[in-house]
Amino acid sequence: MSDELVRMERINKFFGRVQALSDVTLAVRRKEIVGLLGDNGAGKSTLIKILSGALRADTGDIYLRGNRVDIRNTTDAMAYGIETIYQDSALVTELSIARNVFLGREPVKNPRWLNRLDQRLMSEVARESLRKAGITKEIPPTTPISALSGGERQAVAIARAMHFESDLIILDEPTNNLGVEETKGVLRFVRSARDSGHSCIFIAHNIYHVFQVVDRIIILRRGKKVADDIDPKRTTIEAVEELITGLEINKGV
Amino acid sequence: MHTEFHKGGVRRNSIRFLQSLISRPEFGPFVLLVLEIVVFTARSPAFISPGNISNLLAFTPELGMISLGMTLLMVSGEFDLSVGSVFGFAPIVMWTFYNTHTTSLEIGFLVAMLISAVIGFVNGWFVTKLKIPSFLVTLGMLLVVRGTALYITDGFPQRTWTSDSLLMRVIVGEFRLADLRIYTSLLWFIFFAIILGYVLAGSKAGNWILASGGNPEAARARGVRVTRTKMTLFILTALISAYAGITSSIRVSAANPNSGTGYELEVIAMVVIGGTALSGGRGTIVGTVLGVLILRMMRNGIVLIGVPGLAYNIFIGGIILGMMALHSWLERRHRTGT
Amino acid sequence: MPNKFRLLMPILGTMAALAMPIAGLAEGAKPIYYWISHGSPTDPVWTYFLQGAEQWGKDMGADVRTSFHSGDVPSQQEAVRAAISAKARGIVTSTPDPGSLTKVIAEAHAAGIPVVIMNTEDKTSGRDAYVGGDNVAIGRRWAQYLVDHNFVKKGDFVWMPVEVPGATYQVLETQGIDSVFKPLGITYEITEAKLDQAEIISRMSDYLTANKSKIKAIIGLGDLVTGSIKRVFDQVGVKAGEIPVVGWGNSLETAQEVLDGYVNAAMWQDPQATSYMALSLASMIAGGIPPGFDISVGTLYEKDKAGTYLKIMQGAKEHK
Repeated sequence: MSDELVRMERINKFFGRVQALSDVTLAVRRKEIVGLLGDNGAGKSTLIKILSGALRADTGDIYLRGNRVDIRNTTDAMAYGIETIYQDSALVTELSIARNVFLGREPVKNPRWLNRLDQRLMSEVARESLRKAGITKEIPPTTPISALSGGERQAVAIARAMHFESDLIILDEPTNNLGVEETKGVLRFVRSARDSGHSCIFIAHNIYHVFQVVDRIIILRRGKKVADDIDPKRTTIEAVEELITGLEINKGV
Repeated sequence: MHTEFHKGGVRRNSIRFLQSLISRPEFGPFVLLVLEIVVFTARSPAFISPGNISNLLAFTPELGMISLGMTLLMVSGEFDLSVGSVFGFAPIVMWTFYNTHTTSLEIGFLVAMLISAVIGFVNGWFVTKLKIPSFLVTLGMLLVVRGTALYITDGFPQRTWTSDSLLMRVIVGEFRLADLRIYTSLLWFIFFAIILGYVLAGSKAGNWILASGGNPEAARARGVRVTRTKMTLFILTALISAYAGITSSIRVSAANPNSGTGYELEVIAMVVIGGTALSGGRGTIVGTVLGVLILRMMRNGIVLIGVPGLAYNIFIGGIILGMMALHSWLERRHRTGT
Repeated sequence: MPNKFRLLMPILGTMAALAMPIAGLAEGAKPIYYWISHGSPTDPVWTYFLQGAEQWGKDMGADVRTSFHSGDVPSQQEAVRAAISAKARGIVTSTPDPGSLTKVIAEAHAAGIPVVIMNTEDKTSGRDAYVGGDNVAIGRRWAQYLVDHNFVKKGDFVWMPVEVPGATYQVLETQGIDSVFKPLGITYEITEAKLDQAEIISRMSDYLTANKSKIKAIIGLGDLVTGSIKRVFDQVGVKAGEIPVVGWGNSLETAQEVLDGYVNAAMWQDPQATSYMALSLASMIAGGIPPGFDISVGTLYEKDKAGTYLKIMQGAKEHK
């Protein structure tokens, strides 16, 4: 238990009369990469949104390092070290790379009442974290996001998560709409995240991508957890697919 | 040889400087402004006489101040159609309090500002909490505020006094600078422009304003207080419009419930000509100041050189359309270029 | 980068092209006069005023520069100061609000430029002369007309629509009307009709429908509202003459209404003549002859004279 980072306990969520999640319990250990799989409408996004503060659960508790926490909004989640990278990157395309990296957590120069952005620090950090996130091309940190490719945008989002030393990085379909090279970059990042001490929840449609990088796979189906401890090294993609769709479930159990 | 090489370097540097200047979004408005000055001066040398420059600088700060507030609001993705009404309403409140001997002028001023802040707050509340588009909310507010001004005055203008109170001298006192007659309102305008220019471009708040207009969902997901940012800007815009209206009423010695009619569109035109995107996320104070000067000089110059009174709006409309064409073209080039 | 210029050029070229014909007018050593109206360019009566000014410029070989300011005081002050900067020989203007031109008139005088006020008077402004009607007296005449013809008596209610409440003409006219009605115990209400023709008719029709039985007479405080009476009556189903109407009569519509019996009596303020005389006075003062007088205009015409004014206005329209 001591190395458990996050535990979501008996989470229930209704949208009107539709139960999106029923009694879902999920735990992520430190330095663990967890793959979260499930068909469309299985409740992956809902679960993740609850953890990242975008939605609130109807019932259920969230524990962080063993302490019960109340995540009311995204700011709370970030304060607890939970960072989410969405498929559309959640970047402001009009703003520069540096301004996006620090959006919501801008460094301010002294005297503080002037509220003055520390633009030099922002640029330096942005340049450095982009390099760490695997962008080898020299892109000035003042470049607006609108001028970047999809992979570069994803790299900015990842650089942002890495810089703020989040304990848990949630990647929600991070490889959607990316080219081959860019996808490789993202996967490389996920693998390296463990080494730099981060935990990850990785959500993707592409099971192959998930198999390549995660330690453990959790599967949701129709709002319920159907598998919790699948080791990608000791199972096959076909077996996981069966669990996701539920077609062969009786045979499996 | 050595000197030639040096010269080449200088030329290359100056070319680079020129390129960076041209690629700035304010370049188009800047060229337009220069051209305007050249054309008007060629038609009538009186255009750049000290008398006319003083004249131009008298009214410009009043519309200019509103434009500054409107710029921040529009960058954050909202706009306010009630600014012209507030411009007319605030001085009515101040002078009514004073003329009926209810309070001193100073207290009247504070009350007028306070009520305007409430107007801005209500605008912001409707837009951010009830999620009604700002076009509809502020259009409604325009009518409410204008109607209130007419109702409490029965349509009569309020008497204004040219008493020499300190407050009035601070707001819009007159002084001479060489041959120019300058009002302190010009200094306030410059002061506000510097402060708000700094806020938008150099402060954390500015980053929030830009992000709120650019992609509010992403900004919110990053912990930017989008609602609070917009709310603050609605209040700021109402306050600065009220202040501009009071300035105007003291300067022109008139507090008419109809004053400020149509200013909202004029101000939005100024802001847009200055390069601020109607959809939010992009804009600068420098651009807005240029936009203000372009439209103000156009109005002044047209009267000065004697364009027939009825042809007046053709020019204003033409300029706006021209600038819009330029901006959309730059936008497209920007998207496809890189 | 040169692309940017390519786009900018046509825009600037258009501007320059637009500026050219104007320059043609401004050339030569013609004396320059400024004619600065607080009215709205969409108000028909102001087009008659404008014609008078243009006619005068043609007759006298002067460059008369005209502008409209729609009640916007700051922009009108700016125009007067622009005239001062351009070293005008004389300025003719109309008052948007009492007291609002005092300062700029003093500045014009300091620069040796005479200022004549037309149409809307401001006695305390320091102007050199006034040409136009006396709005208080006009209001009094309307009210007196209704009383003298026994259209209204004690306790009656009079409806007074106006384009924009708060405009100077309305303020002064109401003073005059009030001075007659108040002692007699006649009540009235002023309503806003706006400056847009369609909106005027719709607002007036609404009010009339709601208050038809109560209204004993109507005073149209502006030209647009009075000129809309027939259309409003027709829409609501009120017959010509059923409710007595007096008001302004400077539009073709109103003159026709007087002929047809919808409006009992209308005020003609000689708009072309007003502009013409005001510019003449300004020119005279600039030449060194001081005026010891104002010029008063305005006639209340009934059915018998309506044809005359109708002809003047039609003539003016064709002339243009």
